[in-house]
Amino acid sequence: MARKRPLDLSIRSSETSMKYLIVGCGRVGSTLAKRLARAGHEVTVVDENSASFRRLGRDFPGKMVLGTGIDIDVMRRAGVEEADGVATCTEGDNRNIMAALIAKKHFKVKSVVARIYDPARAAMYRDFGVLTICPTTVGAHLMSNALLQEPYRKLPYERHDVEVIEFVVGDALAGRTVDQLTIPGKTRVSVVVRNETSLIPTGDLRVQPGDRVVAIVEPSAETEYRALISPALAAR
Amino acid sequence: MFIIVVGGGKLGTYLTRALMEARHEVVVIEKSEAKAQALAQNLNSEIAQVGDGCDPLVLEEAGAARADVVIADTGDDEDNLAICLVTKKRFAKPRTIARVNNPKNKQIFEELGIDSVVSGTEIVMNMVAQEVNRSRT
Repeated sequence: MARKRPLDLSIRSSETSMKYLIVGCGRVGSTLAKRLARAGHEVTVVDENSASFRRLGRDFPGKMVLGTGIDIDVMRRAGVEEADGVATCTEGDNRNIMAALIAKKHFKVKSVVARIYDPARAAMYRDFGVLTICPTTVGAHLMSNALLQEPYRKLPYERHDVEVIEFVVGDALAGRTVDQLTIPGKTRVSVVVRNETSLIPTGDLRVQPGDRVVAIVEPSAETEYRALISPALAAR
Repeated sequence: MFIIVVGGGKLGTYLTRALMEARHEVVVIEKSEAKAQALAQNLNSEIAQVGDGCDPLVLEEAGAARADVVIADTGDDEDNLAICLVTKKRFAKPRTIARVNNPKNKQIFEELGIDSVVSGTEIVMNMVAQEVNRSRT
C-alpha cells in the first residue's frame, strides 16, 4: 500500500528569487555564489581583496563589494538589511562567527550559516543561534565512510533532530517492500540506489540484495529502526 | 583580583604592568612565543602563557574558572569577540572586558553580551571633540 503524504519540506522554485549575501570569496564562497546565482538568486559577495573576485568568473551576474564582513557599514552597503540569507566563509573562524552574529543579532537576518573549521567551536556557536558547518567533521565523516564501507551508516546532515541513514540490503530482507522497511510517522525511505541509479521509491517497491537505501529517521526511533532493518544489512 | 589578559602586545604589556603594580594577580595569554618571551623579559616575571585565547582549554589552563575578569585586548576585533564569547559560554564567573579597534564594533559587542567594551579610537575622538568645543568658546 502506497501512502501518500504531503512532504513537509517546502522547496522553493527558482522563480522566487531570493537575496543572498556571501562573506568571503575563497574557493567555497565563490563556488557557493556561482551556484546560487545559477539558481536565479540575487547574490552579493563581500571580500577584502579585489583579486578574490576573479574566482567568480567574468560572467558572474551578482554584486561584488570590497570590504570586511565584520564592519556594519560594509554589511549594510552589501545589502544585509534586505538579505534573505547570509553565509560567512572567510579563512578565519572568528571572523566567520563575528560576521554571522552581526547578520543574525544586529540585522536580524533569518537564515545565517557560518563555516567553522574547529569542531569544538562549531558545536559551541550553534547555541548562539547560528547554523555552523564544520568542514573538518563533514570531511572526516565522508572520508571514513569511503574507507570503511559500512553496511549501516549515518550520513552527514547539519540538523540534529533528524538522522539520515544509509544501509545496504542483504539477502535476508530481499523482496521486502519499502513500506515494510518504514515505521510510519518516524522514518521514511527517500532513495533506493540500485546499479548506480537512484530510484525515488513508492511504498510498494521491493528491495533487492545490494540496494543501498537512504532513509530519514527520527533520532528517538533509531534503535527501533535498526532492529527492523538489521536482517537487511548486507553480511560482510 | 585575579585577571586574565589575552593579548600580550604593547597594550597588553603596559596594562599587565599597571595591574601588577596595583597588586592584582595576572596571567597573560599570548599566541606568539616571541611576544610572550618579550613580555616576560619586560615585566621580569613568568606570567605569560603561549596559546590561543579563543581555545577553551587554553583559557581553562590559565585559570579562567576562578578568574574575576578576562580582558581581550588583541589587535583583532573578531578574536576579542571570540575570546569573550568562549569565556561567557564556558566559565560562569569572570566578567568580560573587550577592546575594540573599530569603534563601530562597540555597539555590536554590547549587543552580544560582552560586559564592558572599550574603544581607544572613540575615547581619543571624544577628547578631540571636547578640545574643538573648548577652542570655540
